[in-house]
Amino acid sequence: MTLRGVCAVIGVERSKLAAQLKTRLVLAACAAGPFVFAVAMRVQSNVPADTLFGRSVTESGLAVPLVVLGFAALWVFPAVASVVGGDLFSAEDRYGTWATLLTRSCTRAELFAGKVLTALGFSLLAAVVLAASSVAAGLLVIGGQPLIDLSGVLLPPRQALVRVALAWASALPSAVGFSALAVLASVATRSSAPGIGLPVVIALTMQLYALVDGPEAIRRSLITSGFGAWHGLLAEPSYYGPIADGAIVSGLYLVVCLAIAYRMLQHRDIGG
Amino acid sequence: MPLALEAVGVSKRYGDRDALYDVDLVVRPGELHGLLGPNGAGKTTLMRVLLGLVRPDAGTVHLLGRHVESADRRVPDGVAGFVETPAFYPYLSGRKNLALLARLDGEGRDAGSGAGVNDALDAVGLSAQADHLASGYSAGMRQRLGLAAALMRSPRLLFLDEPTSSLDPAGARDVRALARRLADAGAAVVLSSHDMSEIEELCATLTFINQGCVAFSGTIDAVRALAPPRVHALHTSDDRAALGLARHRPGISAAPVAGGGLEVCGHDAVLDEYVIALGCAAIAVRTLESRTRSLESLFLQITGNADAAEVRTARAEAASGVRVPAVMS
Amino acid sequence: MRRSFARRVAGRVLASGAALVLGGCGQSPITPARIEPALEATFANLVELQVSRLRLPPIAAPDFAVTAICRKQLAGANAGAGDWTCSLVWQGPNRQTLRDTYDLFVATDGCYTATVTGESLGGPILKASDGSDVRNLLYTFEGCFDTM
Repeated sequence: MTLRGVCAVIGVERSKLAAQLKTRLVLAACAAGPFVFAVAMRVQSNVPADTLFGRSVTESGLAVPLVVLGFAALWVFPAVASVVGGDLFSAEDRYGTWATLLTRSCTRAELFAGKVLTALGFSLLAAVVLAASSVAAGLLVIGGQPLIDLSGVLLPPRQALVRVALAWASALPSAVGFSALAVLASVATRSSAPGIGLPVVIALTMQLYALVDGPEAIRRSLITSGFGAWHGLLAEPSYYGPIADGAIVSGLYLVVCLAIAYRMLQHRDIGG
Repeated sequence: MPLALEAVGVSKRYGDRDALYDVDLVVRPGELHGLLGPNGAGKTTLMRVLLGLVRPDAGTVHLLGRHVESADRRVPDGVAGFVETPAFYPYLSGRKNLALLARLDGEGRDAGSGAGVNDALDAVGLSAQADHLASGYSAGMRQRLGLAAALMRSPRLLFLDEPTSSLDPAGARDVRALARRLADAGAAVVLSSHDMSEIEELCATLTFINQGCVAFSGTIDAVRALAPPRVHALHTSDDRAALGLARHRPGISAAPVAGGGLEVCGHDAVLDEYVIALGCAAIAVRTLESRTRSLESLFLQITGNADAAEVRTARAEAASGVRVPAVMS
Repeated sequence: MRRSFARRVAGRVLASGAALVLGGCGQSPITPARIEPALEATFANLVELQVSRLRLPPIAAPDFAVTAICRKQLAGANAGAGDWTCSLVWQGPNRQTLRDTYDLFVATDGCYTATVTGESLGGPILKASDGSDVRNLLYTFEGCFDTM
């Protein structure tokens, strides 16, 4: 495997993604969605009271990105990871293009690495777009007022903004871990429907488990737990255990899922 | 000069079925080599193994003198080809598809506007439709695009799996001319086809594969030498009954011909007795013409009644250079 | 060389995973010992903030001397996610001892929503001293605590 080969694959996958409507729709939704939400909060009186910081959303624009983060953890991160990561490999089966790719000057290892990095990169890009858009929507539509944190302390806007940015950053390892899960589903099922649907179903199942008071060990080993680890950043004193936990769990998912997926691809007979 | 392709002892098993068994294949630079066999014989599986798409259970493959490791499985530079109808991304134009493939071959980001892509499109006559979405391409256009994708690699060893099956006669003629030009320029071309006339026209050497084994490998002249070159085209009032009658007569071989009639082969004396027998059986002989034996009839004779075990046995006993299947002796 | 490095990395990853899993064994981390301090601190901070919003004379959070006692609503072990009832005792702005009861829903991740029972702390909206409407921060509030 060469770096040049991997970069060539990344370039190709990026071109393919850019040409697909679904990719542009996802990024457009990430960019526009928070503004729609913020405007809705501004013009009507109901607030998402069942979400952390939902009650504060009309009092400080910096609550908007945190509410969006809570929603993203439930739905957006798994869906975005699935839409691209869950389809990147199985799409070649759908179009019958594996043979077309594998008769060029790149190895299966380079193809795998390039596609995986593209999937991970897209998840990160979508997260960054959503985060930036949420912050912009909150500040522009609601305003940059101080924010009451999860310990009742009023944070000045600048300090709150830093914590909001760190909160989003803390969710990225789980987003990456989910992308790896989606990649495995794509490679294993060779079909886009389960490749995209399976990670979303897994995410929902994990979220459901988190609602149940089951063994703590299992809850901590779920990749979705990392999505809520940011709470500690908005408490006094801040605590970081769940963030470290989430990063380790995501790392494990990343390693295990990609190792299995890689082995499957290496040993697969194309069209045989 | 090293061989363009050398495959030794290639085997592949799926479940309890041998898709390929102990297949050897040698192709020299500048050679147009035909690969023939009935449906399911293993031709496409063999091509997939040679192109690194399928991992063989046994055997070695050398492409352009380079040993292709199973672990590496990078198609060497100068090797190109496609298996079955080539597939592309339907949401991209033909040109963009080729540009992406060129990038995978190490071309730069602007490969789409490069000479390589344009020249390849010109060579296959697809320049006018290059900027249309591949989703709108016919099967023939996809085959041309597949050929263009292969040409971009400046192949010295080219694998073509039924490259003219979806093309009109003019397109098929162009592809054959292209294959001949490449071979004349020193490239080795392995051509799999069901069109016997195409193989006969283009190839000097060929390999018959039947039930995963090599039934014959050698020159077309050697194939013809295995059986009497002259056959008779026979039309009767009841070809089916005539065929049945021939099957019970030693020294006569008969096979139905597409379009009607039979192709009958045998020495004159045996043939005379057969014609008399037809008359006694109230089967009228309408025409009986002598003609040169077609490759198709040789192929049918080789592959017609042999099972895999017989073919393996015959192969094991074959003399070096030209293998003689048991059914041919 | 490359193989032994890969083995060492794999070993460390597995060890981290095992520590993670084993560290989570045992009873639920959601106990009164964790809920009560978090609730006390959050309540005190919110009272201080509320006083400021109502444009009343400022009082620092520690001066409220909040003490909380929490019990799980369901009979059985006094631990785990679900519905809790917490009784708060604190010193009001006029140094009077005040008692309030909150219903908490505590999620498995240590985040809770507390809603006051009764009307001692007012409704969802309060009137500030200048007549403006102010959200009652003490009516319903959220908080989180570390479960590790």
